[in-house]
Amino acid sequence: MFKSVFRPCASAARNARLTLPVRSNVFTPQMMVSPIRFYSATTDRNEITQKVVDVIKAFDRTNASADINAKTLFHKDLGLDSLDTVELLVAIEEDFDIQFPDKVADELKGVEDTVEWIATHPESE
Amino acid sequence: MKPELRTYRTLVRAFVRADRTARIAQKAAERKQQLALLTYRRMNIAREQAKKDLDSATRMKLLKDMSLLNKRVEILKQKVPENDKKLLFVQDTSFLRDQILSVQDDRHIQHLEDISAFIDNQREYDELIERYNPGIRMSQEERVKRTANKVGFQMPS
Amino acid sequence: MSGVFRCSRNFAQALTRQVRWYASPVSPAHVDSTVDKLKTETNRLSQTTKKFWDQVSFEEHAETGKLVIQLDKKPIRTPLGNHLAVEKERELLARLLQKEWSNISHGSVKTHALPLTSLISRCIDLEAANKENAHPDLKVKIGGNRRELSDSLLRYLDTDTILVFSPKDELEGKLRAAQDDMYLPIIGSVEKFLSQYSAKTISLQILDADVHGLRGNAQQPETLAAARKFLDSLSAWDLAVFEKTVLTTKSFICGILLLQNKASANPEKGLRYTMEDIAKAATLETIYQTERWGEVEDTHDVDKRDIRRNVYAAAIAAYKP
Repeated sequence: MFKSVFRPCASAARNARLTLPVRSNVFTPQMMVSPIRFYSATTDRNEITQKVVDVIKAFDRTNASADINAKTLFHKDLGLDSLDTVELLVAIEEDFDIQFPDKVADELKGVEDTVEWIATHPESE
Repeated sequence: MKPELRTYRTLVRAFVRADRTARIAQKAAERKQQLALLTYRRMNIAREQAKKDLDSATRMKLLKDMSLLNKRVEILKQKVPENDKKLLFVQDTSFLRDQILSVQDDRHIQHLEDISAFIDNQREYDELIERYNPGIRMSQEERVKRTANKVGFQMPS
Repeated sequence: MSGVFRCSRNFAQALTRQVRWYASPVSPAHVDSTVDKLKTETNRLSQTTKKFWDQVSFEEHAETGKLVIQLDKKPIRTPLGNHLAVEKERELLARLLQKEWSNISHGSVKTHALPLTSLISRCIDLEAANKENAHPDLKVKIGGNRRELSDSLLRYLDTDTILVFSPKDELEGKLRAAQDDMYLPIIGSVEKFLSQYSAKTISLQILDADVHGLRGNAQQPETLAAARKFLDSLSAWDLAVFEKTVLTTKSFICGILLLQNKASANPEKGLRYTMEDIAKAATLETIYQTERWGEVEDTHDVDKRDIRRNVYAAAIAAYKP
């Protein structure tokens, strides 16, 4: 079972090296282990950021609706109080079909933190 | 996390989930209405365009109006009510905020938790009923229409 | 158009037969059928099953000061024709009632979609029918005679869910163990609680399948007298809440637990339970049956939600700020 999954993976990496010889020397050994996952993780982060930004834009209590990016902070930049932040996090949870544990929810201060947690918890319920 | 904030989160989550179906239906109805209005306006322009004694300036204006309307219809058609991110927020949280900010004792918190639990269970009950009885929410008119379609008839609109 | 309308009414009437606005333990014979013919929103709804309003709102009544729930600015009426209205301090409840009606989005309306409205309507009607100068017919119309209501509620004490114990050899004894664990402390506390209403010490008669077999169960006359005294002490509003709970849980004792925890600020010591505990106590047998045999779709899952939505609705109605 594991073998059959692994083999096409490895050959894909080999093929990638053959067709892109210049880039292949950039690969560090760590990246070689799971090149596909590495690649998708970065696009995931961009996609996740975009999705989170879209949710924030739909929230009518934010004061800076125009410029929201990965660095935006909920309280400092958007002027959200603790209850507003709860509402926003619930919206994000519903959109991604996830639930932030209590401890995590307390720590999420901005877009970057939130995206990071979502990206690293693909299996979270 | 403070207990009030946790209770607030439970409440907000319950309301967002419970309101979703009704809000989608409302948005869909509004969209349908807007589309009908735009179609009506397009028909009017088409009628104008069919007239023979039009000068070129008017003709240009009508053409422009028509393409504008077409664009609006396109945009509207792409707007799927289900995907509206506004659905992820409670429309008016002021009364929930007031409750949380005026919490005095544990009994009050418990009451708010009971409300969340009531809303959740009611929604889940509705969803189960809907799952086991598909079409139960359909209106009688819709039911008649579908039955008629099934046997090859069409209801006069 | 009129043809479609008539058709939908017939369909709806069949529906109304099954679902009454609020359930009453009093047999249908006691409930006057004219109450169905009153032109109230609640009845109109169940007769047409079609949404006939755009706006749901609530407004403070100029005279009573209560918050009246309205459809298109017209007050919603209960089956007896009273306004669906709550005290000003219970704005949250008004909001929930409003929500219940505004969340009916589809062309058709299901009566089961309004559990809170139906319970609060019952509370309001029972209160109105038992006012000092109320017309005696009102009680007849809604089965609201308190004596008769108490009679039918007391019957639940004989076969109370909390008082019936399964055989020890069933389900490897797990169910019985759980019942002993959960029910025995409750029974002890309720006996103490009911003793307040009696000169004697109350002892509840349980039904143990291993000892008593399949015979019926009957409480002692002094137990029934004490329980009746307790019922008499309740306001009409609380009695309606109690009735809802007993009908939902098939348990008089669960009714006591719910009121103790929600209607009073200081529940008796041994009677402190959460609503989830109450729902669990009422369904202990099903919980262990489904654990052993699996859940039957369309039955257990629906029942689980149904019991909880009703218990929580009762909890909300019982709460006084």
